[in-house]
Amino acid sequence: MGDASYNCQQALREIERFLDGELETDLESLLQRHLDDCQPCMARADFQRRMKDLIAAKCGGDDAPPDLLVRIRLMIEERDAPTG
Amino acid sequence: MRGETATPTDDAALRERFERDVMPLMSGLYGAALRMTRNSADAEDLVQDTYLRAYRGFAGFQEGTNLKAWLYRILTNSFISTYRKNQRQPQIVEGPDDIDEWYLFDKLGARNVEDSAESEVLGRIPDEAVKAALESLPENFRLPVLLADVEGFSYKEIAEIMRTPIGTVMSRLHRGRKALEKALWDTAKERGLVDG
Repeated sequence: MGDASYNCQQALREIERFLDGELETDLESLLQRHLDDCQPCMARADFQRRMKDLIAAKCGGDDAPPDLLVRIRLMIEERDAPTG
Repeated sequence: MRGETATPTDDAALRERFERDVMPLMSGLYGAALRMTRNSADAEDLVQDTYLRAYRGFAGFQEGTNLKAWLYRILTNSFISTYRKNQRQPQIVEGPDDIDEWYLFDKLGARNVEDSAESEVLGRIPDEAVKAALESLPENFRLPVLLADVEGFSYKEIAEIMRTPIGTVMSRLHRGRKALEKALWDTAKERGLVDG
């Protein structure tokens, strides 16, 4: 059930906020309905989602060096009582 | 902070709570610090500085509020106040505005790369190169992308962490992502993953 007043231009503008989980609920369902009906917009949305996943997968996951952990623990133990 | 004064807690209990809640977040903070400073020595110093500041302020931190955002705010403040001036790359405040919308999608599509293969092209770019692409962005654009896509913060949280209005976060995030798409495209070309 497409909404004639909702077009690709609006959809493409809102995909980013949609994928970020930041789109208002009513706009979200409008966009979702549009994507279900519109393959070209869906392809772009899928691509954008994969980009987000790629960045998350490839730019995270670093482990702190073990000696950093040791150093910070020592630093905290050596400190006097913390103040609020 | 705000609200009623915290009940008197002895130092041992506070330290225990810090150990339990804050220490496990170190790898995440270190990763973010690496993307910020772009080298491991500065990243270690930045995390150490962040933990010292966090420990000092921990008695005033209200349990049950957003600990992760609180820590990343300290990290970001530390980075901006201490390490930014040491960075070699000059600070570019103006953004990459000449990059087309859907830059990477259209580039890949123009080469008749099938849907399923698009992500494969991107997936073949080594982790280190994707990190380098992110790190190549000017700081104002790199931080929102890092905080949103790697650390999973909401726009509102990013606005609080960076002390910028939410509209500024959204605009920088959008422009930062476009700049990242271009950097990834350039990387893929250099590596022969796509035809130049």
